[in-house]
Amino acid sequence: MKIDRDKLVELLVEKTSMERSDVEVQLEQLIERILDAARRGKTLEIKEFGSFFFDEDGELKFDPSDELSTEISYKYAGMKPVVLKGERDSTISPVKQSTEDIGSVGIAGVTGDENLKIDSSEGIPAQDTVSGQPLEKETKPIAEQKQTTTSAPKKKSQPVQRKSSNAGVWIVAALILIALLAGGLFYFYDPAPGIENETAEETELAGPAPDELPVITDEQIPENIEIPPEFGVEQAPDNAVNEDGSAEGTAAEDQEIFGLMGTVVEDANNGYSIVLHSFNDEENARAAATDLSEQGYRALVNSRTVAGSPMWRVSVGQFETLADAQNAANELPTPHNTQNFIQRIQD
Amino acid sequence: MEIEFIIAFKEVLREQFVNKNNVEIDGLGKFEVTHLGQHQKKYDNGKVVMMPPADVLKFKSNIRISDENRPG
Repeated sequence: MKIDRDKLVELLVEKTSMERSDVEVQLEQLIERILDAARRGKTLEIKEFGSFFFDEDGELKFDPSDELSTEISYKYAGMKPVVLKGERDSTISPVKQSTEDIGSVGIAGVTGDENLKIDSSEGIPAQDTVSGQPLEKETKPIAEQKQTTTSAPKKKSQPVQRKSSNAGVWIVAALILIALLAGGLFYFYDPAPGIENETAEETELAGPAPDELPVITDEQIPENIEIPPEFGVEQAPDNAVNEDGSAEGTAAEDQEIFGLMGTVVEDANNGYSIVLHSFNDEENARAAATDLSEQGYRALVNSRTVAGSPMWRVSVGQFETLADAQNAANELPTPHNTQNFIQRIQD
Repeated sequence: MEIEFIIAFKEVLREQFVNKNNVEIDGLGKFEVTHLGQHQKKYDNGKVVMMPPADVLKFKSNIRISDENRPG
């Protein structure tokens, strides 16, 4: 339906309480003001309706307000352009593209004039910049998209690759270093010598085995020659015999069972004694024992079979433990404190 | 120019535009409501955008300002 000037006047008369003539005059005045303002390079804006102005080509233009545009296209309010395919060619200059967007997107929904171009130098007022806002909105995202698609991804990817490569190199270097250190530790640290030392110490602490004690035979020992005792502990004798006299067999009541000095106690013959002399003749052994008894020692004469021959050993003291015997031996006078060995009196 | 007339002028024209009626004012120009259907818009950089449909207002005028009367 087409509304001409007469029809418009009728509608305005119906809308207002004015006379038709007055409406025609008012309409004519409105047109004159629009044209007058446009001629002076200014824009006449009717609020919530739109703006009239002359463009750079000298044509009278009308820019509807946002409210009017929305009201006209109310059926499609809220619908926005949908990007079906992204930007691929980055060689296109953004200026050319933005110009194309002006007519189709920015103005299409407002004026529909694709050739509308705004020149602010000609004094186009701020109302025109309202219609220009879609231009900026359309051009800015394109420019940003080009920056992101062309330069930004490359700049982002390069540092990431450098960081990852450096980290990998450092990790590999650290693993190699750790492996070298571990290998060096295993190479220089060998637990076997320590074990050998421990076994050697154990053998030294244990002392020589009884079997390794020197064996004295009758051939090597002449008769009536005193044989100095050896150091060490001898095994239990095969047949220990107490050769002491009957008077010595009874212990004094005030005497302790074990000790170095005093008389021999038969109940203490299960202990240890300090051997000072060894004879292959019994008489000499008993003579030495008598001499030691006169000195106050508990003197004992025991026979041992060494290399098939009997030996007579003269020892002093009766001790419950081997340690007590050793301590007492250290307190003997020279040379007995060094030339002695401890044996078990009997089994 | 009375404010009552301006208000009435806006309301009458808006009602006609909403009803898809064209308004032609002698001495000023012609207002046309045009429907733009949904269409694809392809950019030079390969970007393709589906434009939604819309009803737009177009204004055509035979009035042109002469170079002598142009400002500046």
